[in-house]
Amino acid sequence: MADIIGSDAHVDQELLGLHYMDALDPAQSDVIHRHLEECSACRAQADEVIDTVAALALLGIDDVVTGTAATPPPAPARAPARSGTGPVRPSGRGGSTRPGQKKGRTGKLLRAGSLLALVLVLAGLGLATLVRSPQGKPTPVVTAAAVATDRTTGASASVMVTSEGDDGVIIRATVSGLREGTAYVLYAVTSDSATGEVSRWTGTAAVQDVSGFLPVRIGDLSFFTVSLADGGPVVSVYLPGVPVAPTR
Amino acid sequence: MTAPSTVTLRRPAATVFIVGQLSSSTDGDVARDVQPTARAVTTTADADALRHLQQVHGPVLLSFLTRLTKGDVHRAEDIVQETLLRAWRNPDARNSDGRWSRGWLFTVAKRILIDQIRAAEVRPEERSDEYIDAHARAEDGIDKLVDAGEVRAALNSLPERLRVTLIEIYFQERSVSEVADLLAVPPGTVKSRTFYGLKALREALINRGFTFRTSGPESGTERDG
Repeated sequence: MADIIGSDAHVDQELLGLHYMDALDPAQSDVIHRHLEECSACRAQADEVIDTVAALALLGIDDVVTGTAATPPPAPARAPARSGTGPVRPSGRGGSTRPGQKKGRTGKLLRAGSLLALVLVLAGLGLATLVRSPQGKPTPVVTAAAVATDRTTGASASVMVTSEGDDGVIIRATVSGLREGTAYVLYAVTSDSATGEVSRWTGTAAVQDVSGFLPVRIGDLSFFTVSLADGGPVVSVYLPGVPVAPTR
Repeated sequence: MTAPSTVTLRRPAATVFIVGQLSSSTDGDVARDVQPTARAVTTTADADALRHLQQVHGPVLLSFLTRLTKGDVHRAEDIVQETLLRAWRNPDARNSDGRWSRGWLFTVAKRILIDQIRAAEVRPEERSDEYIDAHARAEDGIDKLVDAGEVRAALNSLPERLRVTLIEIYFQERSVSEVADLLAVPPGTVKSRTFYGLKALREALINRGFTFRTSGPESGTERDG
């Protein structure tokens, strides 16, 4: 990482946030702290950062983060509605324009749990394109969604993929029916069989939301598999347009 | 989350250290615990960990608590101290690289404040249904002291890549390199996204009427010098 004290003899401003979010090495934080003790200009910058980070602290991790067990299970029994081993009922995939909706999604998902996820999936089934532009500057967002339940293991997963343009995709999955205390991994598999790890978490009795980012194009994705961290697949979810090919 | 034997072993030295570090607002309760003759079990690594804790989380805790106490800085300072003390006594709340979990720290701080509010609300003659109600309300109330919904909305209004970066760094407590790996971007990108993410968050909060002690780049600070 770049030098902590820049050529202007002040702290690299971009490091202040990381410092107060405890993402720097202690030695780097030490240098910053010592500089702040002597430099009122940098302290003024730091105060702004501190207050902004402190505002973030008003949110609990369960407000923003998926993959924790904090979500109450509002409708765990719904997901198995479309059951079947492995493959899946594909939902619509299409260009959709809805920055506003996407932004609020994590929190909503957490509050509404799988129910909302299911609603989103169903919405995807019926509509090729959702258009919402509450803030006037619509950005095209390509999404894909699918859901599956494995009758053998009793696990269900619904997966929602959002394209981040050239950067890659954000993958969010709502899973239920997992064993408490067991480690699971969500893998994404592309049509040329490359596999990427999306998220790794410990199962609970509740419905869980997990998410992750992968640097792949949305069109290259084929299916997702929730697997035991030390074993085989628990449930697989296929995206639309991919030939049904059960993994077991 | 406690390890009694470890705590007992470390406590005296820890207290000495904290008193030394936080002399500005140390109160009698802490001072009474000081046992200067206690053997120096504090390792350099422990001292470093505590110093890091104070440098990094102390100022944010203070700002956080000052907001929750509606500007009562002295009370906020006391709670910061108590939080750091509890952190020191709970080495198990540290993660594998020796840092205290941020989530744990802020939960403890909030809990201390809730307990204080409850203690202040309870008067012996009132212990009846009203007492129960008040008891229940203290915790509800703290979440309503500030509109976390505004913060959530502000965070959700950020561009996805900035928002995701902030969440991974702050809420998931990942390091820059971990987030860089996760998002498959260079560490420098994580750094700048964090910077612009915080900047955008601050602007979004101000636009939503959220007030800061320093409301803009021009306003400077009260502790100039």
